[in-house]
Amino acid sequence: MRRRSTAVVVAVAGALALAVGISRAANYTTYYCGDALNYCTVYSDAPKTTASVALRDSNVITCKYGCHTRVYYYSAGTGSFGVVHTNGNCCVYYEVGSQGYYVYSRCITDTGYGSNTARCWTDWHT
Amino acid sequence: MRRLAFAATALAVAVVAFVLSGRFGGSSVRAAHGAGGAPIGATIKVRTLDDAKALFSRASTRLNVGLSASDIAATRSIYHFPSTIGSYAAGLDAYLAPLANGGDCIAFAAAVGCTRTPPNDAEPLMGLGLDPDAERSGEPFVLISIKAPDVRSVTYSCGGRTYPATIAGDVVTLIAPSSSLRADDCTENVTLASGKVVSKGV
Repeated sequence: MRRRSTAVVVAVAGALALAVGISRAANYTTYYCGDALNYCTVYSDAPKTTASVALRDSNVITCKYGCHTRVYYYSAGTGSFGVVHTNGNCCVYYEVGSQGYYVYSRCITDTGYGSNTARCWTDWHT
Repeated sequence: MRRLAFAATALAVAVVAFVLSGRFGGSSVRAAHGAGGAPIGATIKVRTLDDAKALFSRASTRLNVGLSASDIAATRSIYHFPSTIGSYAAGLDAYLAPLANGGDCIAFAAAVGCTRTPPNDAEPLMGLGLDPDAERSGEPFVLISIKAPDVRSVTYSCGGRTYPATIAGDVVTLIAPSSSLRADDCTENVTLASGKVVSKGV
């Protein structure tokens, strides 16, 4: 009985460890605005605020259709939040001295700049 | 059997806690919030041409715009901020790496912004903006753009007031006149050669 119990524990632990390992090793793509599976599409002039998501090590935001997107990030170096604006560009990379801390970030997209749609996304990397 | 149930439950709880702490930031975020106090200068990564090339190189692996080693080798300074401006940008340069298939990337301070299409009448200014200390409002934001060829003048309207941008060649810059201003509160007003004015939020 004891041998069987041990085997079950080992099997459960192995399965869980494998699942955790896979989830942490993968590169996730998190789409901001809306939810984690869909592009942000904005149809009005009102800025759309995404759910807050934690990123680590670096921030990259990619913006389509000429949108003006800003990323709020948390800098461990300054101990405060800052903002990066794409300012018409397609994408911005911001390298803060996160030193292993998470960079707390979110994307806000405006619309109405020559197009009534805007999309932005970022990679959530491990 | 009871021991088995206890062990399995404890293991499951530990694993779930581990996963959640990684997914949502957990203790790392809280640690970061309490880590403040370092000067803003610590976040400035680009003070020289070599710094800019190194930042471009690091960014190229994260930005999917085709920024190649030969593009990076062609990096050049496009604007020098005077040392007298009373901003984190004082004495810094903005650097540009042209993309071989069109467009460019700009490096400034610790940020890289890229475009694969040149500025045009619909999007007459393309660049990046940086406010590294927005929360504290201790540093003015900086905007750096490349302008379309037929841009004649640029102003920014922020909080009910209008400020002229600095135009040097095809580079347009603005250093916020007040650290209390947010770029979010500003609208760029671009006058084209045709007389048409294009206005859009930063």
